[in-house]
Amino acid sequence: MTAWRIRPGLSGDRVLLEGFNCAKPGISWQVEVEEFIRRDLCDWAFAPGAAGDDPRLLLTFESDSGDLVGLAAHERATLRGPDGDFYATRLQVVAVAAHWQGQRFPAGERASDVVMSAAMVDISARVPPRYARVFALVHEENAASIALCRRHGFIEEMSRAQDPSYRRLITAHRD
Amino acid sequence: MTVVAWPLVSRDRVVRAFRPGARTWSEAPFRTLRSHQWATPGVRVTRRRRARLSGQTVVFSTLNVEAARLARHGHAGAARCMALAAADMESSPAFTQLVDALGQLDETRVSDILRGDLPADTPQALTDALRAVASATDQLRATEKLLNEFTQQICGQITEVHDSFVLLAIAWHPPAAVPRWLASAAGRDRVGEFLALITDQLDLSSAVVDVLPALAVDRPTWVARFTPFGRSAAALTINQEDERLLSRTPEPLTIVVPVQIDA
Repeated sequence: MTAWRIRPGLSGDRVLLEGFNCAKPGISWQVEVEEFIRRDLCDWAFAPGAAGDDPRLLLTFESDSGDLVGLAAHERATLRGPDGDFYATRLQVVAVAAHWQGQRFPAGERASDVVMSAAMVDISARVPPRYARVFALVHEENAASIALCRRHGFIEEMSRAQDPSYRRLITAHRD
Repeated sequence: MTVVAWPLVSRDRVVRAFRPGARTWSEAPFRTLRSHQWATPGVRVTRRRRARLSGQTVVFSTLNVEAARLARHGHAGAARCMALAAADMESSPAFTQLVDALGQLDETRVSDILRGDLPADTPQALTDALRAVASATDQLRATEKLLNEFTQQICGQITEVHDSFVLLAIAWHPPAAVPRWLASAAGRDRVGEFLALITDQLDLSSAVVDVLPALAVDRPTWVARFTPFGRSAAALTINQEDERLLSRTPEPLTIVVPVQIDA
């Protein structure tokens, strides 16, 4: 048995998520993540109109305590360019609870790696299959998330989003 | 529509959060807060009439009230962090804009606005700045998890007014009955008005119940700016250089920790 347990999120998790803490006061790009999780994530995942995008929410708990370690969410997305569309998976949010940030499980796995791996395993297992092309928007000052993304293969970068303070990292492509 | 608490307070509110029941004009509690960096000095609103100084009023971000509560509950470090957040808020462009707009008003109207009264002829710039500050304050307040251990703040809209109580409708929660005299103290006792109700624990069996006026923050005003979470085209539009990258073959995904997901 592993030190963690991962399950898909349910609409009944709304109350759990309303109390989720992952941000430091005053850091706007952390606060907006926490606000999104608390206020909007359940609607994002479970709104009837969203089903077409196959949104997935995954919650990671510590097995013994049942403590919520973190969450990850992703959905199918279409990147639209001047010459065509590209099917991809968008990593909507990955967040580790404040008291788990920088922590490891007893066997040495980083909590953040387990939370992120939940998303990557889930994306790999979707039926019908998703394109093995995953991207994420990360604030340029969010060094911890950028490092996490790099560990999980987000080693290339597209143009910046409408707000240039957000980087669009994407998984590797070969010629 | 999101309902959030009024973002401005006068000094007596800060003192009352630190020493419930204290004489609010007393200097000592506020001096204690300042000496421990649990409160900001506030921001001076300088009122001018025909280019001449006509008076000053000091206003505070409501984050000072939260800092004072944290200090009262013995969380000195968190209180200092919250006071720093209050200082950041009070030096933010929106707060500066708000203070500038208040400086154009006479003393009575500044006091009215501090108490949560926004008359219909309030300048639009002031209303916009107030909403921006209120939204940002609400976001900052929500991030201090220690506050949730001993205070509960609920914001809602009054839907019924009875002789002795008003009924407050709150998103995602059952409605709350609030004594009418308490709602009146915040200047909010009519149907349709917005009110914030704060329960602040004193000990295991008692609490202070406080009220603040509240205001509605239209959703569109804060989702109109870019959000990294939206499904709009803003996050999904790419350029030709991106297309060249995506035309290549994606590598298999990297799985750092092979995890299992419960069905």
